[in-house]
Amino acid sequence: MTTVQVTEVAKSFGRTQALAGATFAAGTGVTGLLGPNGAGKTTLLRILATVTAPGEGRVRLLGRDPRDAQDRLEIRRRLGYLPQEPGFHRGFTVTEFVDYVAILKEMAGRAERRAEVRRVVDLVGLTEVADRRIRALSGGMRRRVGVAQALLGEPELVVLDEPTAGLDPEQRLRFRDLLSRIGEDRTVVLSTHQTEDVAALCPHVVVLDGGRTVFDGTPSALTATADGRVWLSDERSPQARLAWRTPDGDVHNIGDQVPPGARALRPTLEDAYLLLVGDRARNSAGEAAA
Amino acid sequence: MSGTTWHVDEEVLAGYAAGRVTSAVAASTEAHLTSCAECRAELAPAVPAGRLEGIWSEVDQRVERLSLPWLERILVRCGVGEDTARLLAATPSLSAPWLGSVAAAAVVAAFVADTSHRALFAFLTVAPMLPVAGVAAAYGRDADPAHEIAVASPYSMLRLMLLRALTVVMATIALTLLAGLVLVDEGATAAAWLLPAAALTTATLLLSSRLTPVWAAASVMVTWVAGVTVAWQATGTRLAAFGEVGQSVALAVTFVCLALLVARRHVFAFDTRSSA
Repeated sequence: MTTVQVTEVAKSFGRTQALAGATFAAGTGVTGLLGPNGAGKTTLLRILATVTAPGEGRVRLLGRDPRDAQDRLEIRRRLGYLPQEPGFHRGFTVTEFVDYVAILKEMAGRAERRAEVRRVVDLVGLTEVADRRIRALSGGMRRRVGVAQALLGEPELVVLDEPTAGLDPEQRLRFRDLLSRIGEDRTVVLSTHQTEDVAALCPHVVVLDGGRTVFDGTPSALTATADGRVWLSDERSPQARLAWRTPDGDVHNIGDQVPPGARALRPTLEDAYLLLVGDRARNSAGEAAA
Repeated sequence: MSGTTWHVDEEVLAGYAAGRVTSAVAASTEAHLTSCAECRAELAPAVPAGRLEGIWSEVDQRVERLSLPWLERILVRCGVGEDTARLLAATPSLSAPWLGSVAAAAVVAAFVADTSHRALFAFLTVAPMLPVAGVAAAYGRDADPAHEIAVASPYSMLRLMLLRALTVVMATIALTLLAGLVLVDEGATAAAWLLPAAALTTATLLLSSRLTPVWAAASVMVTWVAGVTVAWQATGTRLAAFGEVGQSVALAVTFVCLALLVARRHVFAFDTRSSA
């Protein structure tokens, strides 16, 4: 079932065009949003979170229109959102802050609200520091406080802007576990710079570049776009667009085509992503020169 | 005292659990229970779950109330609901440092005001700007670190803004009024900034539908200082803006801004952010 439908959405801030016609649809499960800095990921997620009004184009969230006041209220009641830079009232403890958000989310009934606050704090593994002031926490812990508040009330649509930024490897794995469980019956849309997170977790990946959707499909379909464009060699190939020496001593090359005689390699999602974004950068540079 | 050899009689335990024993028996049962795990284990299933939960939630509430931050405690004591108190506690301009500087500014202005007519003019001009600054720092993306989370929540942003603004304005006005009345020896004139303060704060709130609260407050303050100066130059009387005409204008501005604010309430639904 489609819960998020974005059609040709454009958004400008003054002279800066953040989105120039992004289109994608998502349903139950985890959708990963990839793209270089400035690609419009945050703007798109802010529109999905009803924080920013869509400029042009059509947006449907949970079957409703975020431009309509009543619809927007309904969406917000079923939404959880982690902003890219979630600020905290630093004098609050973890519990107090999450409770503050629970009040904003209209959770009535003191006892139930407190139980829900405890549940989400426990989900992100912060029970032990629940009574500590947020200003005393590490960056990764603060990130988890942000994730905890986004899960309050078991929202049907969970929008997370770089949820794994600043988490240590163990926490990232725990987080994958948590998100994949949430994605079983709800819609999760997250942005990330970690292609491994997408490869491991997201059955659906959308790549944004220059404010447009440049890929929309499964991770394996994205990976397949790099077939025949990744190879190993003893030294850096002149045909390579990007190359690096691996710990084994071989050079991992990615480029337009495997040169004759080179050892072709099965591409990873990261290779495919780098090629996709690199191709676009080259094409636009070519257009500008012409 | 783990070496206890005797145990509480089953019937007594059942009676204790149901609250049917005399206080003397209850006291000695309790004394024994604290040191005897066996009797505690015996007693546990007999305690009605509902009663236990009730006791826990009561303990929980009392402990939490004790540990509330000072501001929430004061607000709750003033009759504000606990939920509302928590929403207000997140207001930057209700923090101790902010209110402290407001009090300091008011005291300095009032102290100086007593020395001359010129200084009284300065006090009356500065005083209504203090609540405006408080309102600017109470809400919005510049002041509230978790603003974006709040916007994405179903809670009415206009309501949150008014709630915080009202509390900040009341706290600021109380401090400034006190300073003015105690330190300025000019009778009612020392309070002539009150209606202008109402006009300026409502104008700031209204402008926040278009600008961020900080810009709204800045524009209002500049307009105010210009207005006071023009009134003085035009009439030749330094305190002209605080006379009867000035007070009437302030009252009218307050009402017009309030009406427009209600009419424009839907504008507050999105974040007023101008850049990517």
